[in-house]
Amino acid sequence: MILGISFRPPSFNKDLCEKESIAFQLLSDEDRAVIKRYGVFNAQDNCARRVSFFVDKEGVIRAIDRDVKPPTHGQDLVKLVKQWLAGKHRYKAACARCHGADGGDTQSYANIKSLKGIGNRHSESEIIDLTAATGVVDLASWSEEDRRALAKYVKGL
Amino acid sequence: MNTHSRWVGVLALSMSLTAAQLAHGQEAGAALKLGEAAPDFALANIEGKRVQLKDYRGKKNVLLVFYPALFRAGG
Repeated sequence: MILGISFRPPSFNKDLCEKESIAFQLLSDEDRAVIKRYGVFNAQDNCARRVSFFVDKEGVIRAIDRDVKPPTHGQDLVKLVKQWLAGKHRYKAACARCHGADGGDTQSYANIKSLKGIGNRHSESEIIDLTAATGVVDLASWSEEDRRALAKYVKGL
Repeated sequence: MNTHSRWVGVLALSMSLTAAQLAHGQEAGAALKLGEAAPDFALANIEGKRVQLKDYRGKKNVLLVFYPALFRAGG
């Protein structure tokens, strides 16, 4: 489900949907309260910055794209979601046995560390380097694409 | 200044700092972090019907796309 959010009123968004053939929901945050709550308010222009949040079924923020380029906005978001889903699949198959479904397991293996919150301490490329350097699973044999997808997913644990 | 009043001073200072940080966070919008629960909201769609984030809980992944005014380039 895609929810677009801006300060524009419903009437404006209705025109926009028709003109641009937008098939997803556009929501109106006219007092900018939600825009501010999500920390994406641009005070200078009194509107939202172009930032996207991927929220999973449990209602948890799993990915944030703060570098959205208008010309490729749609494609970038599709890529983000596809990568996260592919990463989830890889994580379940290769990592969840020791790290747990939520990345929080610290019992099943000696010296195993919780992966929770790792994305707030390390960038995606740092996570890729970390997984290549340590661990029981041989990630070096994985494709670049698979490692990137895994990093995208693990970042949101 | 005796020990007691010094402690009261320290306590007052730390409380005012916390209040200032909270106020700043609310004004500028404290940055949300990965792994954090997405704050719920209720906003009107193009028909004026309210849509809540929690309506999708347990059902669908949701992509929240904030944008300035127009969805495409230029806004």
